[in-house]
Amino acid sequence: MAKQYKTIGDEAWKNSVEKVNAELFIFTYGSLVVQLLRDHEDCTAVNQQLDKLGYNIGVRLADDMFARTSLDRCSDIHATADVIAKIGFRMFLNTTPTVGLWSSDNEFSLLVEDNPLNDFCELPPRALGDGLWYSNVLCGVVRGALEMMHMQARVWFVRDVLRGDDTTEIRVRVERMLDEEVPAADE
Amino acid sequence: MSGDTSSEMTQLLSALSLDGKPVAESRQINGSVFEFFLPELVNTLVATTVETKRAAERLALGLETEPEDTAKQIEDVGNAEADSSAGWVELPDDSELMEQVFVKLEAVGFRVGRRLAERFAPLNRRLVDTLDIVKFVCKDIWMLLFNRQVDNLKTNHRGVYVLQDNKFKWFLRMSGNCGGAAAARRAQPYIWLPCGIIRGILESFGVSTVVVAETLGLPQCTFQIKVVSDE
Repeated sequence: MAKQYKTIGDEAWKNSVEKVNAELFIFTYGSLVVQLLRDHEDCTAVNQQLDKLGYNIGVRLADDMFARTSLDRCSDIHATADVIAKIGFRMFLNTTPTVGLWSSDNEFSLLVEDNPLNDFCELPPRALGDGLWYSNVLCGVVRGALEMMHMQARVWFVRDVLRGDDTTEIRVRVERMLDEEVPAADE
Repeated sequence: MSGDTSSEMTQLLSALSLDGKPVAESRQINGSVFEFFLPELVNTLVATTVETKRAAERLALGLETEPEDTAKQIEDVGNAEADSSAGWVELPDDSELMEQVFVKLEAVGFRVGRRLAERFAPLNRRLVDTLDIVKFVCKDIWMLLFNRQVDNLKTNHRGVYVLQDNKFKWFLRMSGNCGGAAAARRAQPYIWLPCGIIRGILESFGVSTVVVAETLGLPQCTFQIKVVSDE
């Protein structure tokens, strides 16, 4: 099954995608982070903004992904993790994180060996040391995409090479399945 | 592709040919990523500016803003204003607030422009004067960013340059939704980012400018560069 996802992802990247130079996105994202650091006093608020930004993008990317690949949504978390890594990341960022470090059936990590956002990142070490997760947008994207796949998840950064860690690790914990038939909660 | 309509444009733009700059060496990503990112970038700056304004108001009233309040406000603004089906938000009807947002967008663009200039400045030809730099923007940079060149470039040879793009890429998806003034108003934030980019590029080459833009109707966009000082 995993091999099939890889093929779908490769296929999508090769044939269904308008490819553009990454610089515009990478530079604009970096510039936004700089702006947010100026506007907010603490990095927690910036992390949160980046997560929210990512969430909104992730919702739309998931739609795009399903439209272009005619995948079926499934409720198996292991399969979904592979879809995120081998298809989602592959067809949008042209990088394929490794899925691993399962601690239970609903919690795993994405090990991002090659994060495009790190290219040309110019942040001073101080900002990174203060608790900023520079690529926190990725957590939001994964969270938003999972919600479109009917999974409510908590997604957070564990390690980041930008901070001097040996690898970049995003942790995902699926907290509950979202039933699409359930009506909106009472206000 | 862009049409070669004016001879003045031909004269100005054909003198420089596209460098074989390492575009091929650039990492590639899916074009959808930036397309979806752009409206959320605007939303985020709006949310930040609203939150700063509210915090200032609370301060003026002698109320303290708790960190949780701030976080909740960011939540609220994001939820209230996002039109998730299209990504384009209804912008707050507060011109003073939007002015601040535009300033930030221009600043974001400015930093992007500087980095683009560093990254893509031609290695094997020198940009001799301001006109060279502007042509570099019209041809090379526009090609890198939008996969086409500026349609029309005019200059009075005294420090003013007018760039016209008849199918500005970031406006193409917006045209359909609504017409006239409403569309132009929605497009406003998206104009400030490329203004900043252009200004940032010129600044990198030592030319200080003021760059503004207007649209006479989507998806058309006209940028005006005014040189402030030449070095």
